[in-house]
This record gives sequence, C-alpha cells and structure tokens, in this order.
Amino acid sequence: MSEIIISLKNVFAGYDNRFVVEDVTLDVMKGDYLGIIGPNGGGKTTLLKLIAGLLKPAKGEVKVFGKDPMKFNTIDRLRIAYVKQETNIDTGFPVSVLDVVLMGLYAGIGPAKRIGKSHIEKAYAALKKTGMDGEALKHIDALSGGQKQRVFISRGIVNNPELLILDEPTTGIDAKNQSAFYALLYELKKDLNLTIIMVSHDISMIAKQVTKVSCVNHKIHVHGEPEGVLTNEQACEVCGIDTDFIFHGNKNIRILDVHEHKEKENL
Amino acid sequence: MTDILHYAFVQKALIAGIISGILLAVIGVYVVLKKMSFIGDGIAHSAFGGVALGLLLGFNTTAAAVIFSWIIAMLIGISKKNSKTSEDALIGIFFAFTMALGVIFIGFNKTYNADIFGYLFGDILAVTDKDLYAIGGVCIMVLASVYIFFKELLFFSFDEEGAKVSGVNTNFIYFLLLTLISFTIVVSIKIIGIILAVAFLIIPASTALLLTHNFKKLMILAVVISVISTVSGFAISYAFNLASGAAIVVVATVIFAGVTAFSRLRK
Repeated sequence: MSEIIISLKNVFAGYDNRFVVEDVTLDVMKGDYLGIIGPNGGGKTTLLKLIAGLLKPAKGEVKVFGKDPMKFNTIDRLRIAYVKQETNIDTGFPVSVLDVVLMGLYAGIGPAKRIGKSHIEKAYAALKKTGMDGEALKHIDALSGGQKQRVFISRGIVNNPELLILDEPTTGIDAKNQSAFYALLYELKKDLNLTIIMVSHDISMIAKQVTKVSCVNHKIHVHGEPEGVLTNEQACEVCGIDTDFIFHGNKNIRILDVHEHKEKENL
Repeated sequence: MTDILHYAFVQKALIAGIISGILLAVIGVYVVLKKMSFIGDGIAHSAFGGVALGLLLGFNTTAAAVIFSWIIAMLIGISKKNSKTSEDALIGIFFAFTMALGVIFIGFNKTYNADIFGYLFGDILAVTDKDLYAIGGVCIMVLASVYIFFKELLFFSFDEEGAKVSGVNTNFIYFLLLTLISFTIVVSIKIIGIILAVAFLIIPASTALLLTHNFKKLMILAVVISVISTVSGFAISYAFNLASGAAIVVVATVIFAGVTAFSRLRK
C-alpha cells in the first residue's frame, strides 16, 4: 500500500472568522496526481495554502509528511514546491530568469553564503527540464505568461521536491501552450517521481491527466477517480462543470445533458 | 566654495550626509520593491514622538527616537500580522498617534527651545560628534545585515509567499526589514528631516529602477544617485542658507525627472 503524504482531518479554515474550508478530510498518497476543481471562492486556494503551511487551520489537523506544515523546518520545506498563479507575481522586479530559479536554493544555502558555481549548474538543470534554459539571462518580465510559469516550476523543482502544489497554473496561458504545459507536468511527474496537487478550471485536462479529483465548494463534495467524479451529477452541480463532454483517454464520455440550473440561469 | 571643506562642522555634515545617503538608498531599494513606502512614512513620523520625548526627558534625542520608532515599527508589524484592520489604516493610525504624542510632549516641555524645524526638515550643519558615531554605528549594523541576509531580503521582496514555502524565515526577514528601516530613518533625521525622510528612501531607488533590470546594479545606482543628491543638495543649502533636507530632496527629484524623461526618449 502506498504511503499517505498529506492528511487533512476535519479541517476548518478561513479568514476573519469566516470559514472558507469546512470540515475537510482528505488523504493524498505518494505518487497521486490530484486535481482540485470547484467554483471561485470555494476554498480551493485556501486548501492549497493549508497544505503548503501558509495558513493555520482554525480547527482540525493538517499533516504533510507526517508533520504540521506550519512547523516545518528548512529541510522539510525543501520537500515541497508551491507554484501560485502567475498573475500574483510582481512585475517590474529587477531579476533575471536565472535569479528567480536560484531563489529556490536560498533557504538551503543559508544566510551570509554566496551563490556558487554548483548552485548555478543546479538552476540551469532545473531550467532545462522545463525547456527554459535558453532564456536564463533574460529579465523575468521579458517572458510570456506561459514561459514565466515554466520558470516558477523550475524554481519549484530545483531542490528535487517530492510534492508539487500548483494553483491554477495555466491562468493567462493560451490554449495551445496550455496543452504543452500539461504535457510538461506529466513528464516532470514521471521523471521526478512527484506527487502533484493542482487546482484547475480545465476540466478536460483534469480528466485526461490526473489520477484523483476532488470537487471542492467549501467542503469536499466528491473525491475519487476522475471518471467517477466527473460523471457524478452532484459534483457537476456543486463545481459548476459546464462541459457537456469530457474526454478521457480515447473515449468520449457524455456525462450529462445541459444542467437544469444552468438553463435557469440563462433565462 | 571648496574653502568651506576646511571647517570641521562642514566635514562632519558631509560625512554624515554621505553615510545616511548610502543607507537610505540601500534600504530604499527594498522599500520600493516591496511597496512599503507608506510603512516607511509611518515609521519616519513616529520618530517625531521619540524626538519630543527625548527633549522632554532630557535624553539624547537620537537615542530616544531610535527606541521609540523601533517600538512603533514592531507594533505596526505585529498588528499587521494579527489585526483585521487593513495595513494601510493601521499605519495611518500609528502615524497620527505618534505625531500627536510628539505635539503633546512638546507642549509639556515649558523650557523647550530646540529647533523643531531642524528635526522636521533637516539641519545638516547641526551634526555633532555623537550623531556621527550613531550614524556610523547604524551604518555598520544595516550594511552587515543586508550583506548577511542579501538573498533572503531579495526573495522576500520579490515573492513573500514563495520565500516562506521554500524555507526562508519570512517573519524574521519582515521584522528585520522594519528594524533596518526605522534605524536608517532615525539616524538620517538630522540630515533630511522627519517629513522628508521617506522621500529619500523612495526617490533614489525609483530613479535607479528606470535605468536597470539588474538587482545589484540597481543598488549601486541608487547609492550613487543618493550620494550625488546629498552632496549637491548640501552645497545648495549651504550657499543659499536653505534647509538641507529640502535642498537634497529637490535635487533628487530633479534627477528623477531627468531620468524619467531620458528613459521615455530612449523608448
């Protein structure tokens, strides 16, 4: 049986005494590729922040690698990588692509020590894995949204982490580059033996790539294999899935007729 | 004009001006990139309360202002992390409160005859030996901190969440930066004045940002611009008997306007 690396038990969390995540219980196994879907404001990002140790739960227990992620030391932190929405990253900042990837190594290097040749080699290797090594010396703002996102993935994997957390990684990337981006993720997962948790609105990609899907709207309404979740009427209802056809592997699965609630909304 | 360099008080003024120009430029780079100018303004104004308290109790005003501003900086930081009130509003509240305290302390001081105008707008020729030691001591402390935590400060300014997840102690870096801002501003009060200190934190770094995309070059350029502004502002203030802080800020702003025009033409 594979190892549980993330475990949430009856977790409540939110901001200003308002719970965005309510009573969430979830296990993620080593090697899982979990897609989190759900409406905006439904607590998807909050869930990722809890796992990344950026937010303390109001109630319940969060364990990552068997430890409270809020109490992670530097060595624990090097085991996880968190890539947030590209749009949140500040622009106009005077750093190169290489500088951004090197930042991923800073905590491991420690204060008062300078960047050495071996660190630069590691950063180039991480950039090579995402196909961005040719852009290393460019200013970060000279890149497109998709390229930037690859750079942030490179920063994430520069320490060879075990867990990669992605928050809507394809926001602002055009359809063609989205496919290439997902293909890259799939390769990285295989090469680096990663466990991936990804929030995405891209239902067809979720159906094609992930091994598990959680449908989150404050609570986890449905969790399981993509075929089961995406054909589940309740999941579609709660998560506002608006695709009439889901492509999974080579099969076209028609999951539902146009939803009744959507027709009402359109009136 | 060079004759005046033989006077000891002019030499002291110039040394103090150049050192504080370097400090303000270095710390200003982080203030601008992390968009902390309002917090810098709040800390600068809180120094007024400290100066007034020092005058009232007969303490050294610089020491009183350093301690007072540092305590206020920490309170702003702690409140920001723990309060529901927005950071903007919190700074505004502390800003007004400490200025009000300063006015009350001055009101209590019946024998008071110090030159408040000098504290508010700078009086570079009033720099004493003690001031020079304080500025020198703070300079060593600030530059050593920036050297030791150079990587961490850069990552924190660029992407605070990313830094935290990757293992940088962002809480420590945040409070360190607040400490460095408060110390830098307070020791610069004699030269630049409470009201104008924040302008000098922002202007050299903002000017340098128009000229480079490289972080290290940015810092060097900010320092060069700051020192040029300080020395020429001092010369103008001496020649025309003006408040030193005001003259320095006007020169820095003229340089900023010139560089802005130049960078537009270049495009």
